[in-house]
Amino acid sequence: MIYKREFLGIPIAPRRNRRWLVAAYWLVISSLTCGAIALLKAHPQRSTGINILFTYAFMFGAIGLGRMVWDTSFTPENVSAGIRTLFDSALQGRRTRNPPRDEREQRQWDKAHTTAYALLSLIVILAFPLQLWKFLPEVGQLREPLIWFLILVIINLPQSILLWTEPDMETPDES
Amino acid sequence: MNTTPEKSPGESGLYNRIAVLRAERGISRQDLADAMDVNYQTIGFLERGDYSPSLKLALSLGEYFGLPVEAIFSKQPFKPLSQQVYGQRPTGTEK
Repeated sequence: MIYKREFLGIPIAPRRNRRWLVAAYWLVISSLTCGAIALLKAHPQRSTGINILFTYAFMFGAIGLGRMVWDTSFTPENVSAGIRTLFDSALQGRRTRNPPRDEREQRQWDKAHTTAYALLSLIVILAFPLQLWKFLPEVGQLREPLIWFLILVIINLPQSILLWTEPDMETPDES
Repeated sequence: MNTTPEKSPGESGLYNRIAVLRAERGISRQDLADAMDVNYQTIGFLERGDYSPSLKLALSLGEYFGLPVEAIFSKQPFKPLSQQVYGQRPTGTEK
C-alpha cells in the first residue's frame, strides 16, 4: 500500500519520519493558502496570475503527497499515471501502475477513507452552528485558494491518515 | 523444546503458528507472500496477530503448509509442541 521506502532521500519506512513529512506537508499547504489569501488581498488586480500560481503549487503539493504512497515518479510517461492515482479510490486500483491491494491493504484503505470523510463530515456539520463561512473573505476571488485547500483535503486526507497510521515498514526477509 | 511461546494474540485476537511453520520450512516472508498473492507486510501483520485473515486466505495458508486451518490459527494459545508430542510439560518448566 505504501510502495516506497524513501521520499526525496528521506526514509519513510519508519512511521516517525512519515509523520514528520505529513505534518510538514499540511503546514506548507496551510501556509500557501494563507499566503494566497494575503497576496490576493494586497494585489486584487493580479488575481488571475496569483490564482494560477497557487493552483500549480497546490497540484504539485497533492501529487507530492501521493508520491509518498504510490510508486509514481515525475517522468513524462508517468504523468497520466500520476493523475490516475488521484482518482484511484474510484478506480479501486485497477488502472494504476502499482500492484492491486491485497485484502489487508484494501481494509486499511477503506478505513482511512471512512475516517477521513467522517472528519470532513464533522467539519461540515460544525460549519453551520459556528457559521464558519463568515470567516471567508468577502471578495469572490479570494475564495479560490480556499476551494483548492478543500480539494486537497478531500484528496489527501485519506492518504495522510494512511501515512500517519501505518506502522514501521518491515523488510521482506525480516523474521 | 518450546517452539510456540505464549504471547499476546495481537489486535486480531487470534494466535497463529505462521512464523514457526515458515521458519521450519526456511522460507522468507516474501516467498510466502508471493505464494499467497499478498504483500509481504501482510505476512508480518498475520504473524504478529495484528490482522485477522479472510477465510480464503486462511484456507490458502492451510493448503500451502499442508495443514488444517486449526493447526495454524487458534483462539486459544497453542500448547508447546513438546507438550503436544509427549503429553506433559518439559522438565524444568514446572513451578
